[in-house]
Amino acid sequence: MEFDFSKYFNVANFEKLMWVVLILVVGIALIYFLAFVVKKLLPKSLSQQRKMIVQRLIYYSGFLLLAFIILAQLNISLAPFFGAAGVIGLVVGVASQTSIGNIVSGFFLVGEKSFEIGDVIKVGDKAGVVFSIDLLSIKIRTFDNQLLRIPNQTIISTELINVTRFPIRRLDFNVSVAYKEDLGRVKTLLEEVAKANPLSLDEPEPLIVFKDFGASGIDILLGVWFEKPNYLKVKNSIFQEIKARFDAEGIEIPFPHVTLYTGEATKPFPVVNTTSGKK
Amino acid sequence: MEKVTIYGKKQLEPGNSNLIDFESFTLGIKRHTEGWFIKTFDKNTVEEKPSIDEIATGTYYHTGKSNSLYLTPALPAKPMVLKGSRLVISPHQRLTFFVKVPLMLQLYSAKKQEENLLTEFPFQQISDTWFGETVNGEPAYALESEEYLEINEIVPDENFAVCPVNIFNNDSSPLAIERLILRVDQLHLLRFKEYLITSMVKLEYKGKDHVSAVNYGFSKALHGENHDIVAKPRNPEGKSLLKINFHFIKNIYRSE
Repeated sequence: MEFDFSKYFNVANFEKLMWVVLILVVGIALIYFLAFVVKKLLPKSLSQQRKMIVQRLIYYSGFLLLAFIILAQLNISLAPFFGAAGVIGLVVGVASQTSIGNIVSGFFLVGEKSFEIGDVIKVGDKAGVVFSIDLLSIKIRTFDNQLLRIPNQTIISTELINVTRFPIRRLDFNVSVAYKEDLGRVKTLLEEVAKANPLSLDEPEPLIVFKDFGASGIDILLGVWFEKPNYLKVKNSIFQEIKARFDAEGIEIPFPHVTLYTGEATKPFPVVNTTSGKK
Repeated sequence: MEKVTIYGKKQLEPGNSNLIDFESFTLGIKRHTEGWFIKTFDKNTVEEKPSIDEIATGTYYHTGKSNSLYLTPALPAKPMVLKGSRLVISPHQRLTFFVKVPLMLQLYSAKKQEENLLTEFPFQQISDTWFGETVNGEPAYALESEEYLEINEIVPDENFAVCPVNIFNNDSSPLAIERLILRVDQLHLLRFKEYLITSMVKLEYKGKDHVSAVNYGFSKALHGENHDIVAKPRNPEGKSLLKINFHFIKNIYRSE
């Protein structure tokens, strides 16, 4: 049996193909142009996330429409597709259970508005700036400049902390002082450290709590409020200032001590000279 | 205003330097062919008198051929929050009092106009604070001034501006001021007699559940007839605004 090339490679089909290519090129250009124009026209007050959603809507609906136009141009009837939609839907549903779960979770995430692009979030032990919220996952730029992809389903079922949601934050320092220290004096020093730091907010007032009689010393919590962009500056400066102030005032910061006994407390610990092997 | 000496024009030929002494810092300026080296030396951290040679390690501003540098006062860029503790205004009474607002030192090259502003420094450390609730307040500086009932009680000081505040309590209960925000970025700075003085802040208090009205203006007694304006408002919006100006502390601040 001889293959009849003329049946497929003829002028009519070539013309059809040319039209498809033309529609494809013009269609894609139009979708991108439309998305660009809409992005420019969106009010500046609209959050980045909403702008992204609008843009995505234009892309997805544009490409879907383009696909239908091309299929129509190729004279491919959509009726059998829709006819088989039930079966296909079932197969696709089973095969892409996770993906569909992610897509649905994505809609819930966007609706819930617990974070937006640009927010700093913590998910488990990971933290970073929300880079994009996509159909299947969210992308986070970690602080060491890596891109972390977290599936939407994971996000929706995990505890998430939005670090930058509110304009100000409290940073907690756990400080420990020796049992011999005068706690009233320590409290005053910590208050002075917080007060002297220009980035630490005067109000809400710094929080000082005597937390615990710890293993090595008395544990104290110093909570300092600050405007969220100043996180690192406040953390480093207060940390340094506490240490410097305690050193200057002779306040002992205890650390765990280990005492070794050889069995008889009165006898010295045996020391071996490793070069000669003598005791 | 004879006594104000720290502000004004400084003229330096290329290659020349100058150290200008202020209360908390020393300002070093050095003229280069077409620019300025500017450096501040904090008196709290630097014990010895700074050397003129160190100025060239400061920031270089390429400004052009003019050998003039203008040192002028300005009000802070953020609003200031007054912690009131001793002022109570009875219903339908009006009180005028004065506070001292710390000033900033601005440096302009050639001419005092916005595009020529090189840098600015606070004369003293101003602490950050927050006005309002932790979820929706606004950033501000803490105003650590007493309230003076008479302007004469204030000793003229070129590091501070006097801010007259006039509050009318248009409510049926007494107003005990806890926190009051003064939007100093919307005020004019003027010179009158021996004082640097801001526009008057006129507030109408209408009750805890209502926003108060604020108005900025001048008075003949405090600002004179011909206004000698030293600095225009940084944020010229809001001449008359309905805004939250009073804040009453809720328990959330003090408990955890």
